[in-house]
Amino acid sequence: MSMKTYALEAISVLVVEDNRFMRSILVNVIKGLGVTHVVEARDGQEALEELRNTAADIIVMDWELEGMAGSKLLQTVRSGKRGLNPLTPVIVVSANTIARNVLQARDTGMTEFLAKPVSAAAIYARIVSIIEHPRRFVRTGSYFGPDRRRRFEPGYLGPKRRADDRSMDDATDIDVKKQA
Amino acid sequence: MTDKHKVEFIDNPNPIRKKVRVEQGADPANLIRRADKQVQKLSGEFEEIFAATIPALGEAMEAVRKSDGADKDALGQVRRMLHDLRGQAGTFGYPLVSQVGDSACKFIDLSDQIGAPETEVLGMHIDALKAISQAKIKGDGGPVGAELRGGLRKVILKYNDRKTA
Repeated sequence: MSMKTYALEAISVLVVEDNRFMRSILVNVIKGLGVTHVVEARDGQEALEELRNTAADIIVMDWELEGMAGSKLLQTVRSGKRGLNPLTPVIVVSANTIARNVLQARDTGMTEFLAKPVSAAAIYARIVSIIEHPRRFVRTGSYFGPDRRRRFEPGYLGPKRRADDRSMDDATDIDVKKQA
Repeated sequence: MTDKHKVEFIDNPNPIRKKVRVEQGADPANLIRRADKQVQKLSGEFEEIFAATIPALGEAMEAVRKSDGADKDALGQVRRMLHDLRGQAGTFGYPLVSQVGDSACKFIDLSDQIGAPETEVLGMHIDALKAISQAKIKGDGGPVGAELRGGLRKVILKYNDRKTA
């Protein structure tokens, strides 16, 4: 199915990036896609101040921020403390695509990951995914963020961290026992 | 079953959906092209930054080399410059710069320590970036780019062999 064209002028985006030139790249692409309200922040502290003044519809943030790390900023947003919207979609942008880095961002509650160098097509695809495939949020003892399982898979082979998984396993065990 | 396995699901109200509208019949490729055009206005500035980064990288690398990797500030500067280059160059038609920068950053990130053998490998990456800058090699660099990439791959393989021997 081909991608739709969305008019994005009514949404607001907060770009958090400590490198001035990289920030310009992101802002130019996002404005080029038709977003008129783009706010810039140079670090996590500035980002939190901006978010307390005006909520953003999407946050686009660098992961390797100087000062407050990207992980700390994302944790703070997801905490929902001091008036922050914990459900805000967050696109993490990073040139560091080593698996442990991407997994850390996922397990901190990112919505989408975008590898640098960025392109307009890649940023647009992430925005469309946020619009068309909003993921429910999950709260466990150790995680709050978008559901890391993007779709229901009966044969799911990933980590089984949920109580439901255990009962599914138990049910499977019972079925197997019954058949035996 | 402990509490940490309990899961609460929260519906996503997706307020953005109400703020955007579909432009019927419009081709998203046109929108993407417009945005790409907008960002390419920065390409002149990128070339200036790239040209200025090369001597700065050389200087910081020299400090790393002289200290046999003990100068952590200089190493941090080297990594930061390489990280910025890998994150920006590809957007402006220099994917080879992004690839070399990425290889160097991963080498730093995955090295337990930086000593003489590691600075030698890093120095070769920086020499490759210097060559790309001087010859203004855009795109994948054709045969020259393939030679540079292949050369760096061999250097890293040789380093790994020596380390595991």
